[in-house]
Amino acid sequence: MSLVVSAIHKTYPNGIKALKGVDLSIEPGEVFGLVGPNGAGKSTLLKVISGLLRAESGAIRYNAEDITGQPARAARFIGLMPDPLGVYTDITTWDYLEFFGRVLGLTEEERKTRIADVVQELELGAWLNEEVETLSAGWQRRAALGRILLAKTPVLLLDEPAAGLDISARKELLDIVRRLASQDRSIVVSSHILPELQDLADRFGILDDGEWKNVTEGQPFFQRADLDRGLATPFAEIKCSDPAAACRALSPDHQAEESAPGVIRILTPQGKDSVAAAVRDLCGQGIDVYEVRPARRDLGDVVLQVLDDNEGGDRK
Amino acid sequence: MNPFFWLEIRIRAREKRLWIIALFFLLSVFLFGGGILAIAVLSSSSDVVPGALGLGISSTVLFWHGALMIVLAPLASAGRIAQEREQRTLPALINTPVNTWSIVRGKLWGSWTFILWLSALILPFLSIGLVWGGIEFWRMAACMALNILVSLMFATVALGFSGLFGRSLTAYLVSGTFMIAWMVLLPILGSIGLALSDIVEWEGLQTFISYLCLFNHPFFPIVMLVSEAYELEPALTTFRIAYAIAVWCVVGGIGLLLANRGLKREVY
Repeated sequence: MSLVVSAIHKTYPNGIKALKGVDLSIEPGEVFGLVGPNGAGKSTLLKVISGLLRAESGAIRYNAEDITGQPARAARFIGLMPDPLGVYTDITTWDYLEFFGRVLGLTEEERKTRIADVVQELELGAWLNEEVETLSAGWQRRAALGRILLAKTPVLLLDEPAAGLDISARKELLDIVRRLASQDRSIVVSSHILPELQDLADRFGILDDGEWKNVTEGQPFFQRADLDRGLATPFAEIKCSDPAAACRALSPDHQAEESAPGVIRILTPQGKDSVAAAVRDLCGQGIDVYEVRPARRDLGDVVLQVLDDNEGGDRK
Repeated sequence: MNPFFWLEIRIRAREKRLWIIALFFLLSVFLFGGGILAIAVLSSSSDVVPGALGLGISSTVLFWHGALMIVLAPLASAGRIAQEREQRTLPALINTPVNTWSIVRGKLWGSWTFILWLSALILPFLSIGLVWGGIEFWRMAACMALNILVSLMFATVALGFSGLFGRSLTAYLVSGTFMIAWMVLLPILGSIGLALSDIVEWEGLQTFISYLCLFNHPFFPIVMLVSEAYELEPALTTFRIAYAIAVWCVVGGIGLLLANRGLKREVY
């Protein structure tokens, strides 16, 4: 029961190769965080999965059913919230949901039930008689999400769902996404707002120049738990009396650097043993150690590092 | 009910522009028809002949209706698909189980309904003409039907341009250009062609030019029906009217194909 994307290649008519053999597999209940710079191919990938763009080669399957390049068939399983979001003018939120209920071919009874469910789920009740165009960005996104939820698709593709939202609207929308994931849906979220995405997604992939970038040797994807562990190159932070002297004492083995006033960050390839060795060295040099803690690397750090490494690699 | 038709009706009914167009339409028919009636009565030195007056009112209203509808029909439909692109609502539509024909059908019914609704507004004026006499009911009904048919054709072609072009303004301009080309340029070219073919005295060429440039003109059938041409050569006139209708249907069909092709091009 999963969505499987295999070796997708997509070249735009202007010759730009947007996707170069992208693979991805998502399980039910999983939230996948799709990260990458502008123009990396994130939106293209989501559009290809939902059938809005046609790939030159590769396959997209849901439960082994081939849905490659077939938007109508893909729509039975996949709901896409595109960016930018398009909204109709002169139409109320209720009309909007009713229209898409009709498009989905729901009976009057089904429409009534599902719209009521969606309105309750997304708390749209107060806005049903307001024109969609006049709603705030956050409520417009909820209405768009409502459209997808009417179809009860097991896979949701959300392209920049939190773009342009203020902090509270962002938090509320991400709470909704969490709730949806807990209902056994597979969700792919493409976002530039990395702190929220870090809390939301279970697994991440960094797309750049149309292909996944390896975060560790041969591994393009990583879990949220991996971030907490510092991925494959764990760090520790040491609060000490003389950071400058500490950096000199520990480099180059620990690649120490001052990360904050009075704090140095060191590489700990052997885990606790590396930490113990570093502390011993510092104490041996007469530098007082006040505190040692594992350094968390947030998603932004990882993305920047991976992209920098890849740029360096390309240059070489 | 087609969901896109449902949405079209829902949206258009709230558009102020639509009601203003309807008001303008009604007012123009009223003023034009009323003006003709007043002129006929005031300028008549002898007693007013009811039949002549009835024919005057009916033919004036029918021609005015035809002219207005030919202008308004493209306006009613040239933006319908292009607006979806401009509003960026097409991805949401493509990400549904419906096919492109369903979208085209819904949009088409929407614009056709508008045309039929506007046409229904002139029925009271035509009934006045009918009361005065001078024109048979079947002839009036046929003229009305031909007007509606040609309007539906123009609306369909405009929908095709709407599907083909990314911006509604482009679709409006191209639809307008197409309309002027057919209504004005083609007859002018036809007349020049006929004049030249007179010089070479080649009858076959004259017939060919007439069918190519004149007999498919949106006003040709109605002119034939209202004038004496029908009485003089009923079989030939009927054939020519049927030819005009066939050309309109083919052009409308091409419009439909263009609209569908434009939507299909969204997935590339």
